[in-house]
Amino acid sequence: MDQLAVRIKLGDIQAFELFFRKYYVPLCGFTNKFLNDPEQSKEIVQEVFIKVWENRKDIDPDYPLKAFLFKIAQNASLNKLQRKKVESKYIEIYKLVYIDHKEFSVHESLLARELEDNIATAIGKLPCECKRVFELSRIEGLKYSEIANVLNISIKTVETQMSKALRSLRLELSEYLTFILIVVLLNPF
Amino acid sequence: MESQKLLERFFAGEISEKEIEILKSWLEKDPENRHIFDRENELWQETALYTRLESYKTDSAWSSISEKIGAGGNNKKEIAIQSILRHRILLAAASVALLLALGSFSLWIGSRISFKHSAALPVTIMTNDGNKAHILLADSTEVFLNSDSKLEYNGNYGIKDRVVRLSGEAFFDVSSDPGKTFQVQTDQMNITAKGTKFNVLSYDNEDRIETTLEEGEVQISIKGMDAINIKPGQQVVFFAKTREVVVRNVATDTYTSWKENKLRFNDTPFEEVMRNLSRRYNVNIEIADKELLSLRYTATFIDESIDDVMKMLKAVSPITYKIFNRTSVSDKNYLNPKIIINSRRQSVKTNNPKLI
Repeated sequence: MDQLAVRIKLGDIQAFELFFRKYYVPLCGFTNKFLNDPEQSKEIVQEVFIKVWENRKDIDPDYPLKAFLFKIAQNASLNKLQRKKVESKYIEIYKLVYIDHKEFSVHESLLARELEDNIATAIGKLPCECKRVFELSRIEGLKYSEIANVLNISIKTVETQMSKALRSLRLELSEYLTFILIVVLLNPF
Repeated sequence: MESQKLLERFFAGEISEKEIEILKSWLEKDPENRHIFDRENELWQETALYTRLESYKTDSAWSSISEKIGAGGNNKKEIAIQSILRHRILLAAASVALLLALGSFSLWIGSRISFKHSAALPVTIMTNDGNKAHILLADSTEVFLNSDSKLEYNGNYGIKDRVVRLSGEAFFDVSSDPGKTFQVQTDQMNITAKGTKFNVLSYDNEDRIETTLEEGEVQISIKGMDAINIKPGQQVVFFAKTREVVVRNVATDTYTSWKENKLRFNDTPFEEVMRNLSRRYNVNIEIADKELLSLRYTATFIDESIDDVMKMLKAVSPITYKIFNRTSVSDKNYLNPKIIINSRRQSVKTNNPKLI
């Protein structure tokens, strides 16, 4: 039984804060995966947490609270996505994948697992220029052309380095996934 | 690997109108392709989490959400108290250099400490929940400091006068010195003595200040009132809110036996019992059913664990309780153990599988 869930159920605000602090950022990322809009994702995630708190009496401590949280967030995001007008080709793609074909369960989500440390390690391992390109894109939010300008390299090189970075991260993740699989196999119950 | 390139360009926002059409038909073609899209999307979001994009600020998000659920003020206070505590421990450690964090009674008994002070620097001795201290002052006066208490005195204590300041609870065994009276100062009450044994309780979170005299003589002065002299076996209780003073005869060991690590209750109100347990065992106690406040206990506990104490209280009164062990919050933060007490007929059902 999940002690934290029991405490939240009984109205322990400290336990709830702990829960919030642990999952707020991953949940924002998870929500943003459907909406591709950080502001909206943030709003939805806050609403989800408020909903969990307000309905805390209905929490079932024998069911993982985290999976429950991600499930509610997924429903809320998909509702939001559904209501979105197709203003851009981008929204069209998200709708195509997530609304037209509902094939994705929370259990498959990497974001619902705790991968952050692995990601940090993986990024740390990237070769220098590759890392620089990746960070300019993901942290500073620069466009490929801007990165090319800053680093005085061609757009083609930027693209190659980005691919390289993502390939390496994918590889790290796949190792992690294999590890999970082994754990599951060793502890079937 | 053309599709991989397309996906990367899509997520990086570099994709062209023409390419997006290609991506679309690729996605429609095969469920596996949509899974690849999802995985790539997750990877993209996951790396954003690692960089903790500016827009996801947990602290400000928590303050806005805690305001909405009406928990804001409360929570901030808790954090402030925690950090003050840490600060206080450092202060005390610096001025006394030892004496603190005497975890258990056996340790406590084994570490009677005396020290001489040369400079006129003030000395502060502090105990946390669950800890006690035994202090031997320069004039051989002994002080037993209960949990969550603070004793302060000047470095020149015993030279000109003998004055200490107390918040919390302490038992004083004052050595006789006809030339210099001994004085304990608290927020609302001063106690003056020659050679005596007495107990003073003055916690910030309790409404009453209490002096219990075991031996000798003390004089009690409360601002705006006449001085009161009490005899051994008597107790003065001052209720700060109503400014009411009660002098009564008591079995003194009920009030002083904490220093022998006994917990004694004598027709003691429920809330007070719980505050005592909370200080003594360093646990947070929540009384879920306010009807329980009318209960009173008479009991003595000697060296019992908190589990045993709770079991016994449950056996003699209509309560149920649940103990939550110390929980780790994150790397360095812990929630204290917590006990939630309810009345027996309204026990909380926790196995009620239902989704929101």
